[in-house]
Amino acid sequence: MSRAEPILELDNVSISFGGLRALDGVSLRVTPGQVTSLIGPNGAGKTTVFNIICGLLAPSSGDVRFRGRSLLGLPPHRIALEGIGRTFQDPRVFKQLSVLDNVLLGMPGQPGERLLPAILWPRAMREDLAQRVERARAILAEIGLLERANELAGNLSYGQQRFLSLARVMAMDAPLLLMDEPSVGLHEGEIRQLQRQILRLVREQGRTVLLIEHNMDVVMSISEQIILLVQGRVVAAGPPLDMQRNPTLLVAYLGSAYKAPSPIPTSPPELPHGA
Amino acid sequence: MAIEIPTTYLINVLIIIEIYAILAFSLNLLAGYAGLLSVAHAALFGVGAYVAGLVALRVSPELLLLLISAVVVTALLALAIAVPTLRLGGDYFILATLGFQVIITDILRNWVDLTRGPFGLTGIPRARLFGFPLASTELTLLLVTACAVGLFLLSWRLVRAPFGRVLLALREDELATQLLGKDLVRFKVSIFVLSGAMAAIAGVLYAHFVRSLTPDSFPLAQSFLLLVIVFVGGGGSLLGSVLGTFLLLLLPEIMRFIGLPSATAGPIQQIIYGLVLVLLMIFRPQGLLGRASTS
Repeated sequence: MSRAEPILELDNVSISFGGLRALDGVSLRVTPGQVTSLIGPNGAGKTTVFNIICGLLAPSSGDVRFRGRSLLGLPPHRIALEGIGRTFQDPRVFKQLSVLDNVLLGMPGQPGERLLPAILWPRAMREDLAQRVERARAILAEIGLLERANELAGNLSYGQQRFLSLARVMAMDAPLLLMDEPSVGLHEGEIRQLQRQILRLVREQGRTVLLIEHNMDVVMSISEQIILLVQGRVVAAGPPLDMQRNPTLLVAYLGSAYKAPSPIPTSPPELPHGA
Repeated sequence: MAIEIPTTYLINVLIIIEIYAILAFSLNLLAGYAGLLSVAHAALFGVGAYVAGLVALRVSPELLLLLISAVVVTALLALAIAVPTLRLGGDYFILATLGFQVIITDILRNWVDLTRGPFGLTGIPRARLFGFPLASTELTLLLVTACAVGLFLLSWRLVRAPFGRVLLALREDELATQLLGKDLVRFKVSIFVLSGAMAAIAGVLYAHFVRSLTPDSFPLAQSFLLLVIVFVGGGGSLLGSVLGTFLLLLLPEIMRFIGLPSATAGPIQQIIYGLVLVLLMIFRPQGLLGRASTS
């Protein structure tokens, strides 16, 4: 087990909605350069954890630290700029914008997003823009959407929109990516592509992924750490093999949602050669 | 049938259309691109016009002075409403701009010492450019055209820059835009102030052209008309706003020449106007030049 400093740390976080205690003293650590999965039944509070990390909800107590610094009180866009990208349960791509524009929107610190350069179009801005377009096209190529670059994002299939939403946060260059059920609505082939892509982000680009996922095949095959959340509490955490040795735990909490992983994958899917 | 149309009449119509076109595409930046519906555009236009009128009457009719004073005062006012209200959600923003519009017309009507109340400002001198009086209608047309073209090109660049991309994104999904690291408040405040400053320039041109202003020159109905122009032309299309201005301002002028008996002309004009709008929204809801919806 790695003893690296956690990139993200939740310390005794609680939050209530009305009388409901949605999170009750949740503590968790995300190790850099790994895939950590947050699992649990519906209503366990997984998305609430994401919303607190992103600054959309303020916890009633506890602390959230990213690279050792507390995120509490920062507005959502500041937290994003600190280096946390997030995808949603729906793709939420900008359907009226082109696929390329969607990716470009992810990039932070663009001079052309300030009023004066946007009106004057100085040479520096045009050059910066040209470089960013190149980079956005490279990201689209990596994710397999380059030939659709100039189409409206709304014309993509649901699965392609999901990959586009991933491309968008990849463009943020954020070291930590939060993905909320990325495999929902994808067919078999797309799920395999998604797994390869997540592993590429982690192993080749050195990013860290925190995943909310219901598909246990995906969870078991790509996660280094699994955290089980039930009714707002962390009830178990550990590497997949430990969690698998205790399948009754999973079955008990996930019920029919848990399909015993058909022959338990012992190794992650192969990366395509030379990818 | 050939109708004799005097040239001065045509020039006057063209000047008014160009001033409205500036108002329309500047409002489009806000309402069409960023999705922020404002019904205060007439008020901002009025503030610009009154500031220009007052400065021309009391200080000097030098054009640059008029432009700078009108833009600065209007931009500061816009900033003062934008900062508190744009932090709130969309519906509150509409209500806040409605309140602002009503307050401004009330101030123009009741601050008699400054604005001469309901009598308004009269005898506003023509603007001068570095001492040279822009006296003739032709020179006014030239000035208005130069401003309209300049501001249009400025807006054109803005919406094609990454700045414009963020506006379109936040119209579609504020939350997703925010979580990509975009400071929504900064973008909304910037575009509101910029759009208000452009309305102020239209106000300067208007004061110079008509030379008398009353509080009723800038009613709420005018703000609504501008929104109608924007969405008839197409939200998110600057050219659409220009086309929409021509269409909606020329329609009554053309009907004037159809030769209806004067008793029925007014109501029939309104009926045709309404009919055109309804048909347009049924058959082309995205506006004449608006982007087709993908869903």
